[in-house]
This record gives sequence, structure tokens and C-alpha cells, in this order.
Amino acid sequence: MSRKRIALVGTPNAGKTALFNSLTHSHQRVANYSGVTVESAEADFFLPSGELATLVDLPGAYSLRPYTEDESVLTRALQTDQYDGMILVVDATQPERAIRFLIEVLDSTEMPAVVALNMIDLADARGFEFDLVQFSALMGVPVIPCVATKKRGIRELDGALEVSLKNQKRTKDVFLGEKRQDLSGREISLQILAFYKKADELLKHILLRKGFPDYRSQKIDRIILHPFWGMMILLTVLGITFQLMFNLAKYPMDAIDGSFKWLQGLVSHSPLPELLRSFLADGVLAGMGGTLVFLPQILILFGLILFLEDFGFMSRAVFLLDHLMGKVGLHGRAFLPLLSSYACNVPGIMATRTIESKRDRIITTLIIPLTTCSARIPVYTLLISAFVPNTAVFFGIKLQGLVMLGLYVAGILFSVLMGGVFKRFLLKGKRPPLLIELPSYKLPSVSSLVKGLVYRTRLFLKRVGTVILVLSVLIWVLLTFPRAPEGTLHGIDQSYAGQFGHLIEPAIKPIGFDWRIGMALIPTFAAREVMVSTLATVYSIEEGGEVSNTEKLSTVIQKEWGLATGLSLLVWFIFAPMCISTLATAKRELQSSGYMLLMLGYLFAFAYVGSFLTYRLVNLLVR
Amino acid sequence: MRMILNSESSHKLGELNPGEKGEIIGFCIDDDYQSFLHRLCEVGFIVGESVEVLQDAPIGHDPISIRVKDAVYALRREEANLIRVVKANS
Repeated sequence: MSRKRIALVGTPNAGKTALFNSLTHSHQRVANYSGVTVESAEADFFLPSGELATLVDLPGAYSLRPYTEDESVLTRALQTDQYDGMILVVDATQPERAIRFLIEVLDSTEMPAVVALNMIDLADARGFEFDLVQFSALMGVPVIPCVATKKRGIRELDGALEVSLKNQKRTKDVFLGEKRQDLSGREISLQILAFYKKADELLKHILLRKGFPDYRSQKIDRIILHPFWGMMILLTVLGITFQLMFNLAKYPMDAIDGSFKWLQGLVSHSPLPELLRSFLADGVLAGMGGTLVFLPQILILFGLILFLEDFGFMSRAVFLLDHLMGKVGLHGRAFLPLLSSYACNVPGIMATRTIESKRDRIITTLIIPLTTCSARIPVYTLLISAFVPNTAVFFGIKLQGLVMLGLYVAGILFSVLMGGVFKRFLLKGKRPPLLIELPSYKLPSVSSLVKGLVYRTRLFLKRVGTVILVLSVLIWVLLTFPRAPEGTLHGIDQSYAGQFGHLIEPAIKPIGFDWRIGMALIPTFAAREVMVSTLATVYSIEEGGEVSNTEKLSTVIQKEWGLATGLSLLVWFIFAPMCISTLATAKRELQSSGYMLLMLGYLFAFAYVGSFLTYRLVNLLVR
Repeated sequence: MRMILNSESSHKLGELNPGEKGEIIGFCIDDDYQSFLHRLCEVGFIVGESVEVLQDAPIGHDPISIRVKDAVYALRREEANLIRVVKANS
């Protein structure tokens, strides 16, 4: 017997994800897509009888008339037959919205359903009073009050779900009658109004007492949205985020790096055959370790984003920044995708699903690769430590740190510039409207945060264990074969990768790159961070010694390359027109190869021209 | 649907200052904004509903936060102007 699939459906900010976490115990699996606010995951849970079922977390929606791509995912899911039942999550502190959503969804499908009237504790505290018997009777499905974050009402919900699943079908069309299609704009408006009249009528029977407004959130908003303090808080939050990403992440990163170095040493001194030792140490371990090292940074950034999102801060940030972002052609909603992109461009692009208009999604996606994703950090670190002297400039501020900051700022400036260019020449037209809810503030639950981070970690480890592993091995093969005859130096020269490097050398010579850099750029198409480990491999294989850590590598490249080459490569990485994952995600999300090629093309052009100018300029100045 | 546009007491919602309240009396029908107006309707901006402008954003006094029913939404002034209200005395 196949496992039953249950859809988790709800209005935005109704605590859908919290309920998902309370209902399921086993690990989440990646459903068909992910992202921060548009996360969709599935996990198994037990029905009271002990039967195992699968719960699928679908994106939240205000209505079934899709307004964002995110919402159309829900609408499509309900139209197909892939689910055996659904749990409808609504916010008890917003009864009007709850009823409207419920009657619309219940009318659209015959699927068995139960309603989770979530946040009943907050509703109680604010004085709302429901007639639950009447509520269930009018909806035709069980209505279970619950508090997802405190796991109250979860067992009752589970039980009611099992009972509902036994009755295969419900009778639909109780509220509005026949399904409507191809209506004019005015007819739609009238229909929505008729619909609301019906909802308000029903509500009179269900809601015994209306609560008072959420004064607490309004009070907090007076500080967080304050003309001066609001902006200060926003800047402080961003500042702390990046501080933690660099300073706190340093320790676990060093630990991960150290343990991989230790493993590599262990393998190198083992009695295994030489080729196998090289395969394990330079291929597998170097490649995986080089990527795994970013896990702490990614977790810190996503941890903070999840916290701020759950707390209710993210939509406030949109409120504070919309006007400013409008000046560069962006929608306020682009804030979250852009922030996520600092960890990795891929989830950033996916998070653009919450942007309503296609035009704004395209602009945001096109400029996302200009944000400094964490995969570029090791390349920056290596090049800066090799080519920028660490002298104090003023008040003890070091030049190296300043250059790092400058690279981030350069990324921001170019994204602002390109946003403006795309807006003016490519995607003309009015900026689409802004309508964003400022939800009640809520204290994020620790277990929810932990589950979110565990999920992130699994996603990341899966990538390291599959894509990165395969690529590392492939690169090692390209670097190692065909093997040089015994006793000859510069074996790498003759390897496949070396041959390729020589082949493209004429094209990259004008920007100051030699065949070795050309060779190291190949794997960056798969993952930018592999650049460092490839260079390490290139130089350690070439010198026949141990040059695996960044410090040693930086001394080597300092000797081998000129200053102009080093800086030119730094500039190349501001644009970094590589990373297959980013390009593939952009293509899939925008459903267009044209925009993907445009993205690749403009980044490549900028990288080449930027590096060329840097190389020439530095040569001119230094000599 | 009622439409009162030239009455003296009628205001555009985007012209209200923080702290001011009003009652929705109609919408400017604009074909460019059709699906947006439907969405406004769906989240609770309907004729007869009372609204309150809570705050405005620091830069350019735009967008504004508006309370309708039990929810608070951010809208740009330009788009809030599609909604006509009569001011209520608070």
C-alpha cells in the first residue's frame, strides 16, 4: 500500500512551517525546490494508528487567484490528484482572512481536510472567542485549535486527520456554487465582494467575540520603523550579520580546514600506492574539504535570516528600504533574495519567487551574481594575503581588510549600476506595486530554527558528497593523466588540464593570466571555491612537495605571479562569470535560456574588460 | 459598488498622515492595476472597511503602513491613492 501524501496548506504567516516541524519527527527531505521563504519540504509522520504518511509543506497564499509564482505552486498542487488529504493552517488572530481562505480552498477540491486554527493562545489573549462546534459544522470539516510552536493540539489534529482520511471524499461547492472562469476584471471584483459577504455572514456564527488589535506589535513598530532608530537598527543588524559571518565562522572553519589537512597528511604518509595516495589526498579530500569549509558561514547567515524572518523583521526591512531600492530599479521584496545571495547565489535566485512581477524577478536574478557569495571568500583571502601588504592605513585599520571591504562594495556598486541599466534599456515600464504584510512580531522557536539549519546542512552536505566530489575527482584525473614519464619534472604541463591551459593561454594572456590560472579557472565553472584547491593541487603537483595550505600557497603565487596578475584575478572574481549551478538555476527559474545567456554574457564581458584594464593599469603604474 | 469621487470629504488614502483614520468608499478603476486591485480586495481593502495609517517609512515618507481589519500592510503612497476614503474623526 502506498504511503498517503498530505498537503500542508495555509495563509502566509499562519505558522505553517512551525506546524510542519511539530507534526513531523523524521528528517526533512528536499521537495522539488527550495529557497528561504519559499521553502518547500516534505517529511514523514505517524498517524495515531501507526500508519506512516508524508506531509508536504506547500507555499502560503492569500487566495487561490495566484498573484506570485509562489502562490501558483499551491494552486497547481490543489488541482492535481497527488494528495490524499490536506491540513489547512489559519491564523486565529485573523478570523476574516481565515474564513475566506478556508471557504475558497474547501470549495475548490473534494480532498479530505482538517483545519488547524493556529495561534489560539494569542487569539485568547487578545480576547477572540470562537464557537468551535459551529465552526466545524459550517466548514464541514473538523476545526482543531492549536499552538504549533508549543505543540498544543497536535495530537488532536493528527487524530482528526486520520478520521477524515477514512472518508475518501467530501462534498464540495457548499459555499459558492459553481467554479468560475474567464471573467472580466469587474466581474472578478464583484465576485470577490460576494464571496466576502458570504464569509462575513459565516463569521457572525463562528466568532462569538472580536478581539482587540495587536497593540504590542504596533508598539514595537514605533521603534523598528522609526525614521532614525529604524534605520540604525537595520544597519546594526546587517553589520552584526556580516561580523558574525566572518569573525565567528573563523573558528569552526579553521577546525574543518585543520581536520582535512590532518586527514590528507595521514593519507600521504600511509603505505598505500602512490597513485591512490594522490587520488585520496589531492583529489577527494582537497576538493571536499575546500568546499565543506564554507558550511559555518552559510549556517550563520541562514540562521540569522531564519531568525529575522520568524521574528517578523524581514518585511519591516522591505518597508524601510523600498523607496531606496526603487531608485535603482529594484522592488523592496528583492531585499531578502539579495541578502541570501551573500551565502550562495542559488538560494538567492530561488527566493525571487516571492517577487510578484516577472520584470522585477528578472532584474533581481540578473544582478544576483554580483553579490559576493561566500564561495568567493577563499579566493579573495588567498589573493589579498598574497598581493596586498597588511600595513595599517589609519587608526589601526589594515589595508587587507579594507581591500576585502572594497570588493564587497564593488559588488554592490556594480549591481546598483546594472539594475539601473537593465531597468532603463531592457525591461522598461512601471515599477509594479508593493503590497506586503507586516505580520505580528513573534518570538522564533529554537527547535524550528534548529530544524531549518539541519535542513540547510543536509542540502549542503548532499552537494559536497555528489557534485563537488565528482568534480574534484574529475579535476584530479585531468591534472594527473596522462602521467609524465618517471623522473621528469613539470608533469602537469603534459596533463589534459595542462594542455587545455596552454590552448586557451592566448585568449587570457591579455588579462595577465598564464596557462596555470587558465587551468584553475576550468573547475570554477562547477564551483567557484574549487579555484583555491585546484591552484593548491597545481602547485603542489608541480613542485612535487606539500603546498596545500593557503599560507604556503600564497607565498608561492606571490613569487610566481606579478602584482598585476594577482589584482587582475581579484577583479575577475568580482564578476566571476562562472558557476554552473547559478546559471542553471537562473535558466530554470526564469524559464529562459536568453536571460541566462545575457547573464553569462554581461558578466563575462565585465570580467574580461575589468581584468584587462586592471592588468594594464597596474603594469603602467608599477613600472 | 459605490463610487464617490468628487465629494469634499473624499480623500486619497495615500494622502493621509500617520495617525489618521478613514473609511473606504471606493477605488479608482485603472486597467494597469486590475490584478493589484483584486489582491487589495482579497487582503481586506473593501468598501465600508475602516483603515488607519500607522506610520510612514523614513526615506521619502514612503511606503506607509496601513491597518485594515486585524492586519497591517505596507503600501506605497502612489498605489494607496487608488483607494478613496472619507476621513474619520478619531
